[in-house]
Amino acid sequence: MSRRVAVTGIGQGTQAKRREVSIGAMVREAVTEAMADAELSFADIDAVVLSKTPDLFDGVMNPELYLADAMGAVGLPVTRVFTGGSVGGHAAIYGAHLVQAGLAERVLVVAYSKESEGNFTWALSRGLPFSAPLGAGAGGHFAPVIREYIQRSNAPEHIGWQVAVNHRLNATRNPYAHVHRPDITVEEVRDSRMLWDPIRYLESCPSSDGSCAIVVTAEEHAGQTPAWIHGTAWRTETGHFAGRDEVNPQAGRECAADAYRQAGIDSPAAQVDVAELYIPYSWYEPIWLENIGLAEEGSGWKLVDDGRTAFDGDLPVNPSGGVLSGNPTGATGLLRFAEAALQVRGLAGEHQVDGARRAIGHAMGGASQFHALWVVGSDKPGASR
Amino acid sequence: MTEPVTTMPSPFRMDYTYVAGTGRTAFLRGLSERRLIARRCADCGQVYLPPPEFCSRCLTELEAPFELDGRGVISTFCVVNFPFPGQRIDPPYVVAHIQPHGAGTRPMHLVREVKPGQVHIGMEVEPVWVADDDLDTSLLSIRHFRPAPEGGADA
Repeated sequence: MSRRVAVTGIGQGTQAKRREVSIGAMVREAVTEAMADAELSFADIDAVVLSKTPDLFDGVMNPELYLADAMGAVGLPVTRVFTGGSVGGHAAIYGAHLVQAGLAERVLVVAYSKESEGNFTWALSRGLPFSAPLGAGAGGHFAPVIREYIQRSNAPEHIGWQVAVNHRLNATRNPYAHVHRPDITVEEVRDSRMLWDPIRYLESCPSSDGSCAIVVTAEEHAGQTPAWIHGTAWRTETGHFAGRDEVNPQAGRECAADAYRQAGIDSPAAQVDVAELYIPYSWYEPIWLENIGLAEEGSGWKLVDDGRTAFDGDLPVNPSGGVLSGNPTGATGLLRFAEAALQVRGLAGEHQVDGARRAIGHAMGGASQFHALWVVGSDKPGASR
Repeated sequence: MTEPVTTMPSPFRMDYTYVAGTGRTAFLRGLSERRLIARRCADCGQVYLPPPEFCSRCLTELEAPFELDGRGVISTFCVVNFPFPGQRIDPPYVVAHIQPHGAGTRPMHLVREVKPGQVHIGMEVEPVWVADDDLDTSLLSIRHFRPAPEGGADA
């Protein structure tokens, strides 16, 4: 990495069905919080990056223009990034690239979705001219992949229930999370309604409104409590190429390997203190643990079974409560990246993992086609630990 | 004091006209004749059904089209168990990734004429085409897939 870059400000809006507030006001909540955290005003910002999922989701074309005032973007270069559900992660990396390249000193990265203003299921289920119209819905895409993972790994079925419990208990520590179920049990998840067999209701993410914003700066402006960016990577593959392995996508493996190489990590599970991953359905915890090299192929579920990924485990996953506890898709990726940064800044409040000095933020989009990952740390890159 | 204006409904609808393109023409025409057209990548040997113009791995142009019979194996599946807006079939129903024999792709389709509880990974299936009058240059020409006898005459 040519130039040291850090996250110096983080803000987020409450995740919920938010009919009491407009899109602009909800975005402004996160922006105001991030700017205050970074101790900056709009005059200090050189560029703005917006992360947003398809316009069909909430019916606003060109939100990067519509939200110019809410994002403080007057007179500044604005870029909208779009890569499906991973978009927030890609936007964070793009913001870092602008600083690394010397094109900006301080970049504001903004993300939101307001799914209650449209119909997410309708937008995702619209007819495609060259595919069979099946009406399977969002989970109908991921459920077969999960079944294939279970078959390959011989994982017991309670793994999915346990992940759902772990993340919801973590969410009780996070005041911004959409879902708060402090009394949730494995039995309750097991007995919840089967939606897309093998996915049950309580193993699924909600549809949420929410926003997130971060400030990324060069080293000279990093302030007192930066999260240093140690490595960033993004990779893409198409959704249906012949011979594709969607359980363990090549693009995800290569994305993680590149970020670790930049960060000087050769044994990720031992060298990472906490991971905040894009897990919209509970079984994606073991699937991604294996895909991004935090577990051996076929054994990710054992980390769950042994309690290692729970809040008090040695590799806590999704201390914020994760996507299972709130999913404003345009912001979901950035929320993962921001949580990783909060952890290494020591500013995660009730969901702070003790001693977190190096963390992963991860995001996935489309049919596991877009992958983004960053490694952030308390220490300056290149400094000895 | 007057009531606040809280929401403003804004309906939105559009009909799109897609250009099929030269490669898809052959595939779509085949569907209207109960024929499934595939193409192979000369570099990696993978076979695509449906075929794009270029291999998504090697980015090279695929070879000349040839026909597959559409029989294949369920590589994985889910059972849709609940109603939601826009659904075309009453749940429960099976949506499967079907790997046609001779192809490396896994197009998704419905599996019917079998109880969902009896569907399994590795099950042999075959396409069920619509009646002659309903055949069209569209994937709707395949009504669904159904279990096929293992090791059939042309398997």
